[in-house]
Amino acid sequence: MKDVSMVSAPRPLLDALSALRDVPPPVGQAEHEARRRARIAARVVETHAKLQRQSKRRLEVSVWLVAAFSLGGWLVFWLTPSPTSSDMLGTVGLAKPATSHASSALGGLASAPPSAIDLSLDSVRFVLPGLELLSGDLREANSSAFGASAPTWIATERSRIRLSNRVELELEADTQLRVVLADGERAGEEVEILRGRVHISSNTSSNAPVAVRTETVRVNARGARFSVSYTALNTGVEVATGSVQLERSGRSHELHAGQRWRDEAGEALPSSSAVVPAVAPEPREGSASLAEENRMFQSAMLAKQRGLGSLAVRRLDEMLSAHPRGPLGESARVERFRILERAGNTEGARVAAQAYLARHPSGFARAEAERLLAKQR
Amino acid sequence: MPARAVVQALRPGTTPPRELVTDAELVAALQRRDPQVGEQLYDRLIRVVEWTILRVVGFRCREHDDLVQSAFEQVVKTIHGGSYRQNCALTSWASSIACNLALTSIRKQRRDHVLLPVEEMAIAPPHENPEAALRASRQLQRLRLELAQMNPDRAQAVVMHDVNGLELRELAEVLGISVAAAQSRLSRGRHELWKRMPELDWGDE
Repeated sequence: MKDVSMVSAPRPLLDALSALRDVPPPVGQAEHEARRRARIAARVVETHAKLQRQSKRRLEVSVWLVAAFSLGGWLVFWLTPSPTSSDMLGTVGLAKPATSHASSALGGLASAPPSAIDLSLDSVRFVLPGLELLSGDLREANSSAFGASAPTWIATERSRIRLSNRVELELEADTQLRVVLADGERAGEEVEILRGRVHISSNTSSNAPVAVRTETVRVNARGARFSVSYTALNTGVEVATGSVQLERSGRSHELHAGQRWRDEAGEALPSSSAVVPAVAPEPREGSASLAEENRMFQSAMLAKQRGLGSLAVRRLDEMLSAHPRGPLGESARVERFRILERAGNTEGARVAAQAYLARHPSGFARAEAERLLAKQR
Repeated sequence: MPARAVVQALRPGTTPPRELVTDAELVAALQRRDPQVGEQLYDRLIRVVEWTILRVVGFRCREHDDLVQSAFEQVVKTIHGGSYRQNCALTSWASSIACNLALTSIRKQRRDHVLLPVEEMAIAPPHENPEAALRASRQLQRLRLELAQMNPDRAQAVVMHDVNGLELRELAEVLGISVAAAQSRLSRGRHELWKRMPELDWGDE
């Protein structure tokens, strides 16, 4: 990854972009502003209430669907003649050893945790959040159906999976993966990420090997914590502890703790320039930094929340002197006279309110500032 | 609904409403349907939203208030849907939404062949020469049109970083990508924009 400063656009373009910043702050008529404020505030509450109603309705439908599925499952179970004792064990949720998961067509399903409702859709299954699935559960019921025909597992929410060698996988929402056998049964299981992001934790004490692959890269690790993401043919690998080995097209490269690698350009791997050791500091340009202004404002608000009025005012003053024309300037000036008034500093509050009105004659807190001034008169 | 809030809602103006000071408090108030939250959210975000729209669009168009309202609705939807994970400031998140809406609006105006009045097009940089000022104004508007025409993700990165002044780290947080990916997106965006405007010249001609 190249640094932005190295490939930045010519100066005229940056100047042109910074010229867009010079739009003067919006000024509206007080009446119009008040009407718009009331309308949008009502709209915000209304929109959220509507969304909550929709969510509730969806939840109710989901509950009914799950209940219907469960009932259907129980009916099928009870109508099936003479179940074997091992099937009975499975239905009450007693786990069997992982090695027996692929032993029979029913075994894989029956040994899943009791709440791991299997929503099979041919070769697609859903990992339910908050559940731990054993690797045996990830196999097709028929043990020969590993590899290309292995089922695809989809995590719709953050979920966790533990492989038979105690390697733990944490799947982020909207992740798809398969567990396949690499080069035959002896080579062990290999996690193939089809989409999304997976955090892998290979226990350092057991030192279990783990292999993860995407369309473009294969990652081998032993006793490491790392994450692999794969989206739109781009693979990203980030190592938290230990080290991992990247393999592609016959070449390999080792990544150590704190390093990350991203294959965005789809080029042959791994070049040292693609490995980013740490987050590079961004070259700052210009004075207007919304991020910095945000931080200062949040810091002042936290001080206010903790009852540290004078600190909050100091922070606001620092922010206003650093960003006098920033987008949060008006809010900061309003907060300033509010804090001073609450602290009993009537003179300070009066001066601050006057300064606010002078600067924002039709600002959103105009009525409040005028009320404050009238009260002190 | 908290009893105190109900009393305040029924007697507006008698007691100043309690300010929700942090983003987390605002989000929590929204979730519990606090009646004051609409105004609190408005006061917190209106400047950022409106300024972002004005910077991108360049003037107060007829749909300006609709754009502002849509931005607020989008903010509420993303908070409710969980897209806003509170890993960045709410103002940054809102400015990102406003930026997208403004770019979409320009694209729509262009598609519908809406002619932009020259005198309202842009705020020209201070210039003694009126011709040069007009030229600069046209170039600014051209820049806005090109931003709207280019790859939306890259355009968003360029506007958020180079116009709104977000840091790279915060840009990455807002877009939900890694810092390296944000850096790459910004770099590619600048290049694409530069390729689209090779004639760009802000010197005195």
